[in-house]
Amino acid sequence: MDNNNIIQIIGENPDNIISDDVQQLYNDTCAIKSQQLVLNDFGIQISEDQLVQQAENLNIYHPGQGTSPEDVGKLLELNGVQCTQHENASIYDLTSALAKGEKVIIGVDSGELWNGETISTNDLLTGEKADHALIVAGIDTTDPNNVQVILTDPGTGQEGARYPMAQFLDAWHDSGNFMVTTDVPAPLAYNPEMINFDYSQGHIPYIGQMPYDYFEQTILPFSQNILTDQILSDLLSNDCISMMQGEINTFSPELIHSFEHSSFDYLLPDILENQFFDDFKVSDNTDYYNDQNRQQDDSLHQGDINNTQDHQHNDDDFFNHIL
Amino acid sequence: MKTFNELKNNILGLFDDTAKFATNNGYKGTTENLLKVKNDFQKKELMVVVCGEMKRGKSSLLTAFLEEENIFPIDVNTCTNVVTVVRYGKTEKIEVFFEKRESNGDIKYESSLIRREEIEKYVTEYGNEQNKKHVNCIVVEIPNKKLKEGFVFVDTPGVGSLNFAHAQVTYGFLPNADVMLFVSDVLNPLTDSELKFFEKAYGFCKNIIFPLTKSDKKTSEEIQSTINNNIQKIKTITQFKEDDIHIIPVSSKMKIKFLENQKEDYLTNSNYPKLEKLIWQTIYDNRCKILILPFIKQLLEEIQSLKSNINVQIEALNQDKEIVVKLTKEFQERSLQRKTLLDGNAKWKSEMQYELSNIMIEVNQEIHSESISISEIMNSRLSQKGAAEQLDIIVSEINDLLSNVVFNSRDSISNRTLEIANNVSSELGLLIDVNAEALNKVGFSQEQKIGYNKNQRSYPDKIIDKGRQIGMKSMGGAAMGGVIGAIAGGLLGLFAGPAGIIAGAQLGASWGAGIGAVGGTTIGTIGVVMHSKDEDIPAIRISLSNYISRSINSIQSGINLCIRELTKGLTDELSNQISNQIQQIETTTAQIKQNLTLKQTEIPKHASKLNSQISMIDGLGASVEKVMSEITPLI
Repeated sequence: MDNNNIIQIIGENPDNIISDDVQQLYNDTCAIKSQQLVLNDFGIQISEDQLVQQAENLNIYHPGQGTSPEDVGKLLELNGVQCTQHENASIYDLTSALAKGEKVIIGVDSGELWNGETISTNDLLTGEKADHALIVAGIDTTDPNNVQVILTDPGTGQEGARYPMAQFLDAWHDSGNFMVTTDVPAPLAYNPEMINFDYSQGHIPYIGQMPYDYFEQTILPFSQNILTDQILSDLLSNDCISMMQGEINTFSPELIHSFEHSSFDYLLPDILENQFFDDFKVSDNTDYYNDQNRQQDDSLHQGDINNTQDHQHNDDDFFNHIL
Repeated sequence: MKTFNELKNNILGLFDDTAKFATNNGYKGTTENLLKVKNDFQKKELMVVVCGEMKRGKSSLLTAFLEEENIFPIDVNTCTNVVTVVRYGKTEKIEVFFEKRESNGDIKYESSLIRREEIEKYVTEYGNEQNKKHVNCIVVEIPNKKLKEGFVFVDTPGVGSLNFAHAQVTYGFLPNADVMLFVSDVLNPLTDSELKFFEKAYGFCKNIIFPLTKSDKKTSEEIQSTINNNIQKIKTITQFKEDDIHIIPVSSKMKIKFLENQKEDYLTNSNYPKLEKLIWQTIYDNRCKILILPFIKQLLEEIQSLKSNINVQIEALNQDKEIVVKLTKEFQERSLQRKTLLDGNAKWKSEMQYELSNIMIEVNQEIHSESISISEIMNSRLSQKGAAEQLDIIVSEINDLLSNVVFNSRDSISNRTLEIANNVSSELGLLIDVNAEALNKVGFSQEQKIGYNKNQRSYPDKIIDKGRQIGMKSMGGAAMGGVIGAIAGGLLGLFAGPAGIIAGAQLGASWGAGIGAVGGTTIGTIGVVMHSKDEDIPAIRISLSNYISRSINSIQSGINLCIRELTKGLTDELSNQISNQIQQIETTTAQIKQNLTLKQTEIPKHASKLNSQISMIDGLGASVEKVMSEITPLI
């Protein structure tokens, strides 16, 4: 199976154009503008200035001071769009939200995002922290060597700005992986791009080549359990992206071996029970994987594990391995 | 500092946002309440009532001040008892309202649109002798910028010692007066009858300006002498310091000449700029208190009520499920029990009706006694030598006594009815804050969580606490007081215009008709009496006896109508409060029951949402508090 021509985008894929409709009117209204764009997606036509007034009434915005992360989403709620705030969200949580058609606002360090700074000037002065809010429109996994996150950015006015996953994750990390998701998918009436979205299911059927149900029932819970273990997180990331690319349909021996030797070994029975998903035909290039299976995990040396530990990744960065 | 309009828009935004919050979180009753209060807020006007004796230049003053021709016709004869209300409108619209008495005694209103030039046909004796056309009032809407911010000017009939009916019409407007222009002229210092009228008017409105008209007819020394004289007289009646008594001599004639030819000298000599500055200053000084404060307090109560409800839910989430289930059952039972109170034949209704009818009987008995006293005084005066020469004084005295009967009846009815209404409220359990009770039952400590500012008791909190201390939600109390005040207040005057004539005011719908019936006939009677001689005293005695008798009958008739209106008004208001309470109980119950269906894993997320709602409500409360602090220096 050749995956090279399959477009694998989770969420939306707007054109990378600069639009006045996206550009925030004031220096410190990125969060308000982001919420306006989400409200528009839910058919609520309200201007940025009206929202600024509402935010002032709610005492969550003061001109020149912007909006605190804990207050992002309140304008959505006030205007009837229920949402949920997430702190320390993972890329799995973000993927899940996008797969469910939900709208996602996140906090980022704009210096790291826009300028690609590993540590922005601002970080040096004030420590790592987010200073900007924007919308995650989608994740493009079409090219496994260059997975990109698609952002609708009120700061630059770009509808579909594309950033390498690593750069995005670095910028997002500074907000404590803060995310606000709507509780329901954006309605079709205002989002024609959702034409193929199955609202009765409440999610897209596949994330890449991986059935969504498998992602939700297996990958997502595991990811939440092992969040604190860098090695397991990285291995899960590897497996996950491989599954999305259609290269494998079960957990790798490396991951299983690592589980056996980790403090999460109690999860192993669950992993073994859930390691296959059936409604997926593994592509031809997974022979390597099957071979690896046969070799069993004895071949995985401690040195390999150490090498993996050397990677400087975010906890939840399952895409980094393929970058 | 924000302008008044910015403040008003800010508050409208707060109403909208609070209503949005309520709507989107399932508080339908709160949304309805907020939209009603917001509607009243938008319609609320600041009323400037122009009053004074006949022939003192009230109509000329309004013509010169508003710079509008033919709206306030000047009549050489006694004016009719017609009120002219002038407010802003995008296009000119003049509507004349006619009274039509139904066979059951009720008054219906019909109206016609007329042109500006036709106004005099309805408000002057020349065009409408003794108000045979049964005109109740004229409402004028004009695109006059001076009125645009919601200021209404009311031209009242000239009061006079001989005209009981005219005085009653004017008294009828005084409870709604926010600013009063008490007009007298330079020709004479304030007369006894003017002072008597003023004394009563002062009881209703303390924002008073005293335009002294016809200044072109006297020298500046003579004018100053009149001013000094008037100040001394006003001081005897009011608590005003001399500096606070603003008597401004003006010449409407000069101002009108200025308007005709734009010569600045006329304007300077008219002294109108000084009067206008004072009028606007008085209006601006009072508009926040009148146009904003009452509504923002109600907004705060609704915000607090929302917060209590959310707190109930949060506490219920943390509580033992059995206790919460028990609470919902109790609430459901209470809701059912409350609904029986809305039955047409509910016991409280008949009991309240009985109490109110007792008031009617007692007040009528008091009036009967007073009528005997008035007749005795009349007979005594007429028995004195030279009575025919002093008929104007005798009639004036009788009119004062009759006015006192009306005032005393109003006070008596108001006080006793309020007592009954409070008792009924208490017995019906309307003083109980449903959510506060629920919070108590789930072991919630209000001390710790109520209020927007954790460290400092805020102004709104204090207001709300005060509401709690008196044991009644102030909205409920205010509404009840409003019903009683409006209906009993109607006892004061003939005016009981069609609904909506005075935006925001609740005038008694049918009251006024009783005394109104006296109008046409008594004016004629007094006219005959005033042209009599000594040998006519027996006939005068009969005429005045009839006059007193008719007046007392009309007052009693008015009281009967008033009690009828009060019974209906209070029943409606209390039923409304019961319905609101039921809705509140059912909303709280439904939300708690909904929360009981949550899975254990869903509870933290829901609790987080509720906490976020509390944070939003606190934000709204803090914004209202901020507006409150902005208007406080202006009050």
